[in-house]
Amino acid sequence: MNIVFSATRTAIDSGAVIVLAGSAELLMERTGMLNLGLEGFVAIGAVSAVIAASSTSSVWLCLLAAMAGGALMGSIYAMATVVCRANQVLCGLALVLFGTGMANHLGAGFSGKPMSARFVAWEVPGLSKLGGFGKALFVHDPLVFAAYTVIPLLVSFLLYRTRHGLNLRAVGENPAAADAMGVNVMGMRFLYALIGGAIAGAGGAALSMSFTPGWAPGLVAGSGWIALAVVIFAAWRPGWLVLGALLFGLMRALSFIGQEQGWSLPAPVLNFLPYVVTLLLIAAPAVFKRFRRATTPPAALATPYFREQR
Amino acid sequence: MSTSSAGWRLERRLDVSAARSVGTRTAGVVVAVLGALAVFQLTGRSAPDIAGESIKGTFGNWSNFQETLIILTPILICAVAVALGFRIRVWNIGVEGQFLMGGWAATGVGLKVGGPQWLQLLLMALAGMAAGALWVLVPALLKAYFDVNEVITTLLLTFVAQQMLVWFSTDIWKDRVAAVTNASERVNAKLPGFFGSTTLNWGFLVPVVLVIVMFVVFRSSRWGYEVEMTGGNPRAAEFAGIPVKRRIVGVMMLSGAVAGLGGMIQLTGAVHRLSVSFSNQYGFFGFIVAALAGASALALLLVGLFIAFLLRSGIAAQTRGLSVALMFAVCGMILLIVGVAEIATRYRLSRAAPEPMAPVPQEAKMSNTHFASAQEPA
Amino acid sequence: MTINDRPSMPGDLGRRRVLQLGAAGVASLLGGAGVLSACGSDAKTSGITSGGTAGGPGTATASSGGGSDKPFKVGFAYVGPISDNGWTFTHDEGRKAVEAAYPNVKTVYIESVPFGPEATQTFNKLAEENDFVIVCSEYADLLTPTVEKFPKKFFLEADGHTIGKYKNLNSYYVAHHKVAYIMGVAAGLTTKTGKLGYVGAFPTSTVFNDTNCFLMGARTVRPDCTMNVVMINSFFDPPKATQAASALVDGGADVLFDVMDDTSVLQVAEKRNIHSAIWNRDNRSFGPNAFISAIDLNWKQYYIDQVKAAMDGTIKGLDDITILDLGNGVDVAKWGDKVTPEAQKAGDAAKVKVQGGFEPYTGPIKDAGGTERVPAGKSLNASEVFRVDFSIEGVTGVK
Repeated sequence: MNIVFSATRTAIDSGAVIVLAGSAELLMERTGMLNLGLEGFVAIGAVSAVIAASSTSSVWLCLLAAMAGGALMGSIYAMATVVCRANQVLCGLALVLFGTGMANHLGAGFSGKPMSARFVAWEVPGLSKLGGFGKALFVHDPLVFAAYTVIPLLVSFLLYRTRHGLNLRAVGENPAAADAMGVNVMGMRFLYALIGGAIAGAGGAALSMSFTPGWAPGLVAGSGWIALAVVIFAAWRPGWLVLGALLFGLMRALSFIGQEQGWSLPAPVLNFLPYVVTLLLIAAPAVFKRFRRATTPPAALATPYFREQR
Repeated sequence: MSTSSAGWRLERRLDVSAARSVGTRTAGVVVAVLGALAVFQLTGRSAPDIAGESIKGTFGNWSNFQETLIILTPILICAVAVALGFRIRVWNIGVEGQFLMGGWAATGVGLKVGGPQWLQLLLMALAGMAAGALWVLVPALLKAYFDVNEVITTLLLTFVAQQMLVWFSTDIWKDRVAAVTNASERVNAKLPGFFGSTTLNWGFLVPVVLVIVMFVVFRSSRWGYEVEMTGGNPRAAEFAGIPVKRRIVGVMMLSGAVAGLGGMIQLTGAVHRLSVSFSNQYGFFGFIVAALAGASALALLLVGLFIAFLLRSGIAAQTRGLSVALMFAVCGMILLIVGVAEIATRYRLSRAAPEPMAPVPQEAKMSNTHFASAQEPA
Repeated sequence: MTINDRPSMPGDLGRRRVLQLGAAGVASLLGGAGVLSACGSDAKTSGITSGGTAGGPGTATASSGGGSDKPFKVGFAYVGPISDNGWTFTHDEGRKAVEAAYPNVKTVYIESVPFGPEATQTFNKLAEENDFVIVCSEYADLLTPTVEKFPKKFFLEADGHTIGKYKNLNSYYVAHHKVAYIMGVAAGLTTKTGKLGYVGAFPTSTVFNDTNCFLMGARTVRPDCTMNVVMINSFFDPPKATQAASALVDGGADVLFDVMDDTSVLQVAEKRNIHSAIWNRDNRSFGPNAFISAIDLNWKQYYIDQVKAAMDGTIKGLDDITILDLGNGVDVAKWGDKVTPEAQKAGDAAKVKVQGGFEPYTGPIKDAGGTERVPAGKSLNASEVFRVDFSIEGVTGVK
């Protein structure tokens, strides 16, 4: 039982970056932008926090730096794909190269130095005392708590409970109609490239300031790509995003626990199962019409908007 | 319906001349490369030296050019696979995964099936193609019959393929004798050297042949015509009696088979072992090449050469004091700028006066279609 | 890409891989493995030849040392970035020492050499432009084509298993198992649960020797110790290493050991109030309370000697691997501040014993399956140790 709790705790900590990067991607995809460059965004966020930590010890300022770094990446992406309408897939892949390369370049001088600004675990009064269960769920640092509660709730509220969110979704589903309704399509996309970038940057901070403090080349190690898969798993819904991040995190934790406990299941199988499950989750509703519409991506995903071509 | 107020806007060109297409892309490349060199110069390195060394290292002599061709081969094969998909407006971003699975199947055959070398190679090629095709089967069926976005499904399967490689190269087929850290046993079947070369093998001709075959097929066969018609307007194609769904599945599997063949060529021509780093992202570079090249066969070759040049320059530049990380960053920036330039081929900036809708219809339904290049003649 | 992963796209291989071309990101997507996982990074302005001389690339600087006026050029190929603060960093210290020792030697290095045809091309380039090439990790048959192509140039391969086959290629490594044994003694007196944990990359002899000898050492002071191993298929993936280490701690391990190029395992130990021994160098600042000791690598003298031999033309192909012994390229780092005086004393005593000629692999030794691998009265020699491919009884999780 203990091991279940500990695995949960590790999965939660390791999943914070996934939830944050996933929320960023979700917002961007909801406005019709497929950002394959997420990995680069997270890397830049992580290294920005580390660089900031060399001149301030305030965790919040470092977090802000990470978000600024991510937003900068978002603005590059938006300049290319929204303003210039360049191919989103191409630009995303280019930004993976650019972001990880730049982060490794900038981070080189900071590698091998302990991180001075890091988030420390915080115990939820009362709840954290509930034995193993309490420890697993209620002892984490503020950034982790925020990643699992504040951000998804905010995103969810924004998407489904505000007029602005309705417009946002409209831009992702049918930009021409949104435009006709008076929504500024390009403005909306640019804005969410910036906001998404900032949140993805915070995801980077969840690595360099919390889960694996400090800078190391290879720090991001695919977190951005996993986040992309989790967004799909979540069917572009914030609530499911949290579940998806936990599932992916748990499966990976299980692959290590399985080794530790001497199970005979190969670790790679545990590692690819979540992707297979995700594929099934996409396929099932499409194949069995009853569930249709449950998991379709925003209709205008990856499509640049040209007003003249409506 | 255009109610736009004054301002600059992009306007679609109705005719894209070949000269313009080549011109803008070339200009994009030149601007991006010059920009990168300027940054090098400003940060205290010698840009002419780096440029000279890069060109020399890539094209300087036959020996260097052979090495360039070795890098180019897997990238170009993957690019052909992606370009095939573009013909029918399918984005097979999972070529990386199909490439890996092709290498995986070829390794399996190479390790387990004996026989004369030519037969082994033949079986490996068939196995690689079958594995690549099967790896894309599920996304293809989902795309054709249930309209599920193939960008997402093929990407997901790439992750699975990567884990498969980890599993087989570090566990099931791991070389326990030579203790090569994380690779399978050596596969002995080898592509013959190109006129006795120890560096280059005949495999580099495979993508060239594929490009030519593709060009011919889409120029002159009924099947090619049907595919392009399906890509251009699926509803019209259906109306014309073309089995649209079967064409989509067929093209996607063909695309997967090509990528899988690439894995086999990479195995028998270059690395000879399955390992965790079997592909240095060749699938993704292939995707980039295809996306930049559009539908032109010649452009495919040239853009592939350009990417191979960038990667080869990375090696040269490192001996000139540039970090590999910086090279990646520069490479990413160059691709981004070229990607933006590419758009200039098809659009022009104009002062927006309210104007009527441009008469070029865009398929609203196909979400992932913005590949106008796929509409251009080859 | 992961694209790191490298999922990391992507993939990693090799002794310590890190990056990959491409995209890393893409890579990563490469992800996991590859994924673009990690791209290598490197020092801000890694000079081509750093060292003292400032000659422009490719230009010769007058030599004062060896009597020739052409500089002797040495090319280094690194598997990771120098900024890894681990494996590659220690090799770069060796490279700098060579430059400092011989004014007429110029060095060049290439970091994060990916495992693929690009590696062979990188080695070709280095061989073309240099007189002597040192490859600081195992590249096996990605290196041998270059060795064949340049029969007049000499090559060194760290941890290489191509031994005695070429007249111009030598392999070298360190007797790290002795350090593991000594640290194991201190670990045996540090652990409360008797459970030791190890985070490994790939099932190679390095892992077998680390884990076997660490456990042997621990059992000299605490016979009921066991060793559990978790593999993460990478030498450089901090998030995975963190998760693997956490899983070991959750399973009851209270002393960890790892072969990673980063310090995440030590950081986990610090956070969970347990202890950890590490590879490569003394990185105690990442876990001052958790740090037990480190396998401290020092390639300086070996590289200086080899470069001298290469300059003099006396270097020649050996029939066996060169293993740098304890005190001669690999050592036990200073004990951690929280290692008890008793454990330090026992560790120091073990070190004296090993220095006196004691070999941890002294029979009878059975593997985990019960088969006798070293008969009573026999000891493995250095090159046999280098080829160990079994776990002793008590080590689980690696085969």
